[in-house]
Parts: sequence; C-alpha cells; structure tokens
Amino acid sequence: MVEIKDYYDLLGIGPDASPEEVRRAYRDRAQDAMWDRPHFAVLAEAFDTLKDPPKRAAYDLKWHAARGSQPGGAAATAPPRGATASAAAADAGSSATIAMNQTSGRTQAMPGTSSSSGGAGTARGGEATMQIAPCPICSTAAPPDEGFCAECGFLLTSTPGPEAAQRPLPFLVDAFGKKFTLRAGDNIVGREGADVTLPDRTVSRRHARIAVQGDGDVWMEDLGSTNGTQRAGHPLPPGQRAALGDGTQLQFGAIKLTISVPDAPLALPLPQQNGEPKAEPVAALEAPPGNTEPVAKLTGTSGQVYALTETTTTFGRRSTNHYVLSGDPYVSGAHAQIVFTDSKFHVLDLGSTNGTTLNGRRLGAHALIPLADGDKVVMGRTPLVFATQLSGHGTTHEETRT
Amino acid sequence: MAGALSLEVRVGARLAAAGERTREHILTQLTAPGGSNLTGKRLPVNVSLVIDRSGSMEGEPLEYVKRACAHVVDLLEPTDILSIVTFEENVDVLMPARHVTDRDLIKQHIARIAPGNTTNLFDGLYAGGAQAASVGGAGYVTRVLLLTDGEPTAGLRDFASITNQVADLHARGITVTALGFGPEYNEELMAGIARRCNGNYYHIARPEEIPNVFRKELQTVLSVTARNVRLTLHLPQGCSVRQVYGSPPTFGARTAEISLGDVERDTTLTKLWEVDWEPHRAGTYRVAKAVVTYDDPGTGRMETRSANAVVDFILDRGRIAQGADPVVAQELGVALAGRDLEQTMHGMRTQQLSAAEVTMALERTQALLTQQGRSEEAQEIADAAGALRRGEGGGAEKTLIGTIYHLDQGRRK
Repeated sequence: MVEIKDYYDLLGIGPDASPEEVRRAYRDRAQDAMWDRPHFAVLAEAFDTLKDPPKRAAYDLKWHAARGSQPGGAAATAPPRGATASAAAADAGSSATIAMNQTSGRTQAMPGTSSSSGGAGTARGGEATMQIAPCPICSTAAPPDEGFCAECGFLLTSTPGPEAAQRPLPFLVDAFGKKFTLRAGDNIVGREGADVTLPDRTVSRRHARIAVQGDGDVWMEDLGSTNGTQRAGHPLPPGQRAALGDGTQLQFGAIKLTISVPDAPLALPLPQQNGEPKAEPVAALEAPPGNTEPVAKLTGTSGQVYALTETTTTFGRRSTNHYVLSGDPYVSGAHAQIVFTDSKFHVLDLGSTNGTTLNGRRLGAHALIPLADGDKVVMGRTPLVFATQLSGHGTTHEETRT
Repeated sequence: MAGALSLEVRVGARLAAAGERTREHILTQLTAPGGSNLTGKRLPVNVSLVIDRSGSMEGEPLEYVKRACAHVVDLLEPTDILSIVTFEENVDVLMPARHVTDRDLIKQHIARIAPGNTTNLFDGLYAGGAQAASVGGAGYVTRVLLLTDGEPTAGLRDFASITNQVADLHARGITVTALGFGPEYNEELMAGIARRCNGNYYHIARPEEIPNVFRKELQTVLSVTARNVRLTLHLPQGCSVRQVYGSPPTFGARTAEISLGDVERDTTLTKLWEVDWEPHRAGTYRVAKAVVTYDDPGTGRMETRSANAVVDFILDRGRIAQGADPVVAQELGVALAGRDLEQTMHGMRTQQLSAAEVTMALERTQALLTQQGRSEEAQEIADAAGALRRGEGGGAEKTLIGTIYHLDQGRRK
C-alpha cells in the first residue's frame, strides 16, 4: 500500500488556501506541536511542500489523483471514495485529444479501505492517508493519476488485452556479443544519439541507416560517413541501398557487426505509404497462423510445387521470402504474396518491377485479387498454376521454405 | 483571469500496435485567448533599448533608429519603465530605468545619439540587462531590445560568451529580442541570442523598416499574457522523448521539459515531440501527461494546466491506420520543412548546392508551407529567393535563418 500524507487535512485548510493561509495555519499548529517532535516534523514537511509553488503544484496533482477529485474544483464535489469507472474517464481512454482538466481521476481504492476523512480534520492528522490497489499491468501500487497508473500509464478502469506475441526483430551483434535490436522503420547507426550507438571515433555521428520494412526486408544505406560502410566485405557507396540478409557482415568505420534477420515477416503496417490498398494485406497478415497444413499449391511449368497454407506466403528473389524464385531475373526481391483471408486464397502483387499477371491480366500493385482453381499466375516470367487440391505430383519445394 | 492558457495534446496515431516498438509524434498546443477588451488593462512593461551606434550606423540608419525610439516612448504609459543604452566602443546609459513620465525630455535625449566607432555588443547588452534587472518586482514584462548592424568588434566577441550572458538574463526573467539590421551583422549570433532566451528575432533589411519592427515588437511585449511558460511531459515507464522540434528539452527522471518564455494574447504555440514507445501489452494507456506551468502576471500566481495523451495499443494491425491524426501529420510536415530549410542553408554556405538547386529546394519548401497554410513563412522564403536572385546571398541567409527560427518557435497568431 502506498500512502500519501494529506497535508491540507494536517494543516486544517482547504486545497485552495492562499499562501498566506498556509503560513498562518502552519504557525498556529507549529506552536501547539512544539514539544511533539514527530508531529512537528510532519507539519514542517507539509509547510515546506505547500509554501513552494512548484512543489505544491506537484503535490496537488498527486493529492487530487489520490482523492479522485478534480483539480481546480472544490474538494466537496469529489465522488464517494471507491467509485470506479466514470463515463468521463472511459471517454478519455478512447480519444487521444483531451481538453485540459476535463478528465477526472478516479481512485481504484477498495471500498472500506480508505481512512481519510477529507476536508478539515483534526490538527493531529499525521495518519491521514489513502490506500491504493496495484495496477494489473505493472503491479505497481502507486496513487493513480487521473485514473491512469502513475507508473506505466495504463487506464485503470479498463481491462488489459492479451499479451501480444513478441515478433522477432532483426538485430546486430558486435564482436563481443553485444546485441543491438533494430526497430521497425528507420534505424540510424552513429557515434552518439543514434538508434544503434557505436561510440568509436571511426564511426560518424550519423553513419548509416538501416531500414526494417514491414515485409521483413532489411536494407541499409550509408549516410555519407567519413570512414565508410561495408557490407559483406565490400564498400557501400553513400546513398546506395543494399538489401541485408540473415548473417550479413557489416562494418561501420572500424566496427564490425553481424546482422540477424528473423524469418517471419514482421507484418507491420507499412508507414511509408498511406494509400488504402496497404490496409488489406496488413489485415490479412494479422490473421493468426491457424491451420499450418498445406491446403493449396502453385505449380511451376517444370513441376515444382509451392505448397500454400492458410496464412500468407511470400514469393520473390530475395532469400527472406518463403519461396525464393532465384532462377528468374524478372522477379523482384519481394515480388508477390499469396494471402489467405475470408476463407479464400488471394494473390497480391507487392509493387514488383515486372508485375504479376493473373490469367494474362496484369495486376495492380497492392490489390488483393481472389484466386480460383486452375488460375494462371505469372510472377515476372515465372508461370505458376493455382490448385486447391494437393493431389498433384512433382517435386515439392516444401524444404526450401525458409 | 481572462488570459488563462489552454493546453491541448494530440498523438500522431490514437491506435498503436501492441507488442511493438513504436516511434510516434505528440503534438502540444498552447493557446492564449485573444480579447480586444483587454487592451485597456495590459501589464506594465519594463523595456530596455540597447542601440548600436557604431560608425556604420551613421546617417540614415541612426536617424530611423532615433525615430523608432521616439515612437517607443510614445507607445509607453507612465506606468511603464524604459531604459536606453547605446554602445559603440564604450557603453553609455542614455537613460537609466525609470517611469516614462516626461516624454519630451526622453526624446531630447534620444535626439542626442551620435555615431561612434566600433561595436562592443557584449558590454552594451550587459548594461541593458543591468538596467532591466534593476527594476524590482515581478509585475513587469521585461524585455531588452538589442539592435545591431555588425559583427561585435570590441569587448568580448565570441558566440559562447554572448549567448551565455543572454542565458543568464533569461534565468533572471529577462528576454532579449534580437534585431539585426542591414547585410553585415552576424545572423548566427543574433538568432542564437533569440534562441537562448525564447526571444524574437527580426531581420531588418532597410533602414525605413526600423520603426515598424520596433512597433511590432513593442505590440508583442504589450500583449504578453503569460510569463515564464514551461511545458513538461511526464512519461510513464516504456515511453521516452527523443527530441522536440525547435526546443532542446531538459530531461529529468521520466520527464522532458521545454521552456517557452512569454506568451502573448491570441497566440497558439505548437510543439512537436518525437517519442518512442517500448512494446506495450494491449490496452489503453496514457503515454504522456503534458503539464504547462506559467506565471499569470495579472494575479502574480503560478498556474498549472495539464492534459493527457492517451493511446489504445491494439492487436489488430489493420485498424492502426484509422487512428492517424491529420493535424499532427500536417505539423510534422511543417517541422520537416524547417529541417529542409536548414539543409538548404547549409548547402548554400558550403556551396555544395548550386544556385539552381537552392532555388529549387526553396521553391519546394515554399510550396509545402503554402499548402500547410503557413503563408507568412512561405512569403519569407519567397523574399529570400528574390534576394538570392539579386545576388544578395547574405540577405537571403538572414531571412532564412529567421524563417527557420519562426518555424522552430511554432508560434502563430
């Protein structure tokens, strides 16, 4: 249980008392408490806080939060203790924009556990305290602030969702085994104040940029560093983007690192484009990998079989794809996806250079097109036939699935 | 009091992916209400005019400065306090800080200003600051108006000494307005002075503009409604501030604070904070609590306002795009335009960009600002581009540095 001392109660004044009133109340009570050392100390502490405007402002925020009253409002209008979710607080949660002072905090205190009398109490109110239940997210028992956990910011009147599965993110490992986890989007590698901070004099302040794309692709560019960037032992000219696969050796100035790229696509909303077609594949990727048994397939002309499960399967030239179409130079790095959503398979071109056709018709980029049995899909110049039965024979490429 | 500030907080996206590291932007908007009915009972001001009377000011410029000073005297009331300091090699306190009671006498003094030789900016500023500080009491809006037309040539001349002096003055509640006149002054220094104390910066290209700029600045001083404005973001665990566009924050234990100086009536102050969120479990969180504290000069009390930035962390990534806030995206566009301008200026100075490239970059930024409704800044860029075409590279740089500063300040009427 966390307690905050009610200095106002202690001094027998209201929360809107003027500095002069605070001073007078303290003087009166300090005279009486002259011979009661512990009580005098508490009084002095109260006065010390309330006489100093910044300290008092900070204390007021806590005090109002703990009491569940509205800052600026009269304490008398505070709701009964133990009151939970108010409509105001619930509204506050669903909207990012809140006009000041319109949300009112509500304590999560269990009914009957509070001991504060509120208002002007006895002079010997050193034990005037409030008690708080712990937060369900961070288990911190701090006085809630306007209904939010003071530690982690969780809206205490709402219920927490399930734990999100941690998606694997690419990371860099240096020669000593130190790990730098990359974030989705841009990561700056540099000497100071960077996302990946390498405090070495051969590293420029803004040395290189590593971008983690929503589809799991990772690329890097040099930002005009003094001592250059190397990828797999070869210098990377400034401004040129280079894809990074799992295990690629990188060198920034004199610092050598190895990148580790997880297999699964990150399935992030792609921030660089705000066109609507992006929303769909993202939603599709979000679908939990329920059935992992292959239920459909794409067959190549020479009999290769690409088994499809009820998830998203990626095709492209890059090694980070589920199926690597390395034999066709017309296939882009991340070329297309077969997406299972609405209990149907769909083909989705990822903005490939040479396009994807369905039964001879070129598909627009990022448009989710349903597939029917026997449909002919051409990625670059690689023809594939879609089939929902798995009875077809030929060499299965299941083992190439990375 | 009617001058109370209001605070609004917006998040770039109201929805965020649970379990992901996220980088977002938080927008804080401070609004001081207008109200023409307040003109009658404005706050008393304590103004110190610090005037460069070095040799280069001789002739027309100094005549306009005298006219501008006389104009300032006319605008002030007997309740206001004025001091006038002139500097060349030596510093003269032409008029110590006192109430503006005998306007004619003050004007006679102003008429006696005569040009000297070198520019001792540091000591001039010091004397002006001392005059402003000599007035006791917190009831005044204190401002030093520093006008110079050249590089400091006498006394302490380095950037750090001068800006540190300004920071000291700022700590004592004195704001310095930097008025750079003509093509010769050091715009980095003048903008740096303004930046250190949240003051204003003006580039005055022609002498006949001097009285107008003085009037404009004095109007600003006369309409101050909140002083010593500080904005703090209180951050819960797993949330951190990466940077604030245009105002370097001071970091505390889970707080980031910026100082915003004085705020005038009818003004909106917009600040964009770049924040990082560690992976969150799905749920509704307050990702930041913004608290603004300021001195209300009307009542002499410190006031506090707060607002919350709340985000839903959700598992359904498909819905995240729905939470985007176009207002924040727009402000981000403006902030990035400021960065673009800075880069263009850098390219101009190091001559990495050709004249055509600079013009193109300026046109691009101008179009962007026009599109975002920042017509004033767009016009400044157009002026700079015009100066560039006439071969006045110095003038263009001075205008642009002002534009960058205005964009960074995020202040709008």
